[in-house]
Amino acid sequence: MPQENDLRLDLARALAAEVAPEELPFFEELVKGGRAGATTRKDSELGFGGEAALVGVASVFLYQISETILAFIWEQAQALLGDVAKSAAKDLRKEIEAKVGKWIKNRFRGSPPIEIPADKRQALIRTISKDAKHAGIGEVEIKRLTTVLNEALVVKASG
Amino acid sequence: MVTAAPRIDPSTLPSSTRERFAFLYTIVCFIAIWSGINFLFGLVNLGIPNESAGRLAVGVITMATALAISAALYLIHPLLRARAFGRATVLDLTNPASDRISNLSKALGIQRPLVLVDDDIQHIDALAFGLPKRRRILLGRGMLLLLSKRPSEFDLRIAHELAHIRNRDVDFGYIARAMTQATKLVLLFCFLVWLFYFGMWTWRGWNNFSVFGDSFGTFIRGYVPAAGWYLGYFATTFFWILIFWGP
Repeated sequence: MPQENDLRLDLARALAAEVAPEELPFFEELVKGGRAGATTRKDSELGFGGEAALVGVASVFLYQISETILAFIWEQAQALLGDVAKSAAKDLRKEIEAKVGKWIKNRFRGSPPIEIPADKRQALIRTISKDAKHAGIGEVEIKRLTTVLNEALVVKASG
Repeated sequence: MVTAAPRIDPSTLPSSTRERFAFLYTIVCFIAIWSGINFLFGLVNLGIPNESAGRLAVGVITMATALAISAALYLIHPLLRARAFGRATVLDLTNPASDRISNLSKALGIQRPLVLVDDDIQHIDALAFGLPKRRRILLGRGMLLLLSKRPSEFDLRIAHELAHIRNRDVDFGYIARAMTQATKLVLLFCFLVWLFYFGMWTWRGWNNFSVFGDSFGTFIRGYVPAAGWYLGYFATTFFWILIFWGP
């Protein structure tokens, strides 16, 4: 779905701005390229070699987890949509979509689009942290990412 | 009184680059002379009555040809290397990487090379090449990302390439590469001559074909025994390995 893809890209970009701002000028290229360090070029004579590749680049990973985060939000929303009529569910879904878009656009300031139980939020963050380590993301970036997610997914007191 | 230990500049430490190059140069010359003497003598009629002198002359001409091909390949290497990573453009002088490379060049006491960048963000190799006074460094676009992620690693990679320029490894490296390619061409030429003789010449019965004058007659008389001696199965295998599997 193109709209979901846009949302995913926007979310990944907003996360990159918080977690690895130095990658922002290259964000589109990295995400388009798919996997960091995936070059298949042969090393050249008198060249340094590209064996270390771009280990630790966060953009691609952030793009990957954006899908997980959005799926997680929809999953929580399903509980709300479950009992309402089909036409109302459609409207509600649109409303949540708009809220998600606004939440991302505002760089996670304000409350998340829906309320997320603390245990589920922590479970999500734990899974993402584990995946980040596995993907070779640096400790500093992981710390920033968990902090951002912790703050972003918590309902803020109004006023 | 405590005195500080002298700092070691790794780029001034002795290396065997020049010795290895001299060794390669000698091998290339020997292979070319040997090929000329044994495989091409007879094909070229220099009109020298003494056979040994004639053979040697053909060998020397073959060597000179191999060296001329090497020189030509070295001279055109910047055109080929500039495309080694695909499409590349000159690095914008306003890019932070440009300043960094200028400073590193200054620190190493060399003129700043022209910097080219490809368009593959996944690619972080760097490559030095170019003729004297026209040196170039080709960067994978990923190097610019590396600069923003890990500047010290960027510096390390660039310093490595600049050291190749400072030590003239660029010249030695690309001349050596050109000489290897020229040797392969000479051997390939000899192999094709051999193939022509054994394949086409005897098959078609062209032994009696005299339109090219006496030179081919001389070639037959000189070449047949040489081919018999040197180009048996083992030699043919050796040729194939050198031509298609060599460096």
